[in-house]
Amino acid sequence: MDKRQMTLMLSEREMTILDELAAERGLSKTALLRQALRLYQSVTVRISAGEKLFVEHPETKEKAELVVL
Amino acid sequence: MKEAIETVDLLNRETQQFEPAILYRGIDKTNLDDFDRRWRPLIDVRIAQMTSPSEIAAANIQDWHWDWRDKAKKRTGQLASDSFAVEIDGITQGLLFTTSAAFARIDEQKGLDIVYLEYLATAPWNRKGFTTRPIYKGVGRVLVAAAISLSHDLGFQGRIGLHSIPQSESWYRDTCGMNDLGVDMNADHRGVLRYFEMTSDGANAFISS
Repeated sequence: MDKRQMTLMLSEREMTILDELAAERGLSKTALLRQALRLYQSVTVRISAGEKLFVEHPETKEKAELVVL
Repeated sequence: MKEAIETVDLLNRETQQFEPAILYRGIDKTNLDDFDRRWRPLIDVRIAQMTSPSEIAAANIQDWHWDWRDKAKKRTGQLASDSFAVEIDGITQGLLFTTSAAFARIDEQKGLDIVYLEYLATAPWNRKGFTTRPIYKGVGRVLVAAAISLSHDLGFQGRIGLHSIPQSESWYRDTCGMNDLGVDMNADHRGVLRYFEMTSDGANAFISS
């Protein structure tokens, strides 16, 4: 697979969150960013097709639409 | 883009000889044409003879309605989607679609990323039930191993999951050693399909077995 390089500048806070998320999810920072891109595209495609994204409360099972602006 | 990633020897049950099978990442026109021209006619003929769901299950063709060409079209350009094919002598023996936009359900790995097997099928001539003399053994296993390998490549440590059509439940549970989480009541599966998941340890055990 052809790969291209980019430099990503993150704020201190963004880097802290990236470190924490990567540790929590057992991923490298690179793997986490790639997965974030896959998920973001997946959500975008579905919303563009008219689908809605919901989150469900674990106990009440109440569903709330996740508003993506 | 289709890329050969591994060659594995699969047993031809008719000749009792091992033959080299090529595992490809990516499905191309050849594979979809094989589905249309080699798989589908066999399945359609059999379906036309069926009168009950139990006959369809017994013939191992509960996937008879899967349209691989349409599924490939819908997944074009999606980063989370991957596909795999197994070929012997240029003929498609098995197909797999996966997505990495999925999360684990087992408590010990709940919420972590997994590779989810959306559709996995072997050619009808390799299926017990469809024929009394299935030809190649191990096609499904190669495809499950491909999903595990992809999971490792993405940093998911081998974790995979899937919903199984009823005819394949025992294979995923007993042969692959996947955890059976029961019937999924989610609307997408209408309380019909059981959900199976493999942990990282389970993936290691599967690969080394």
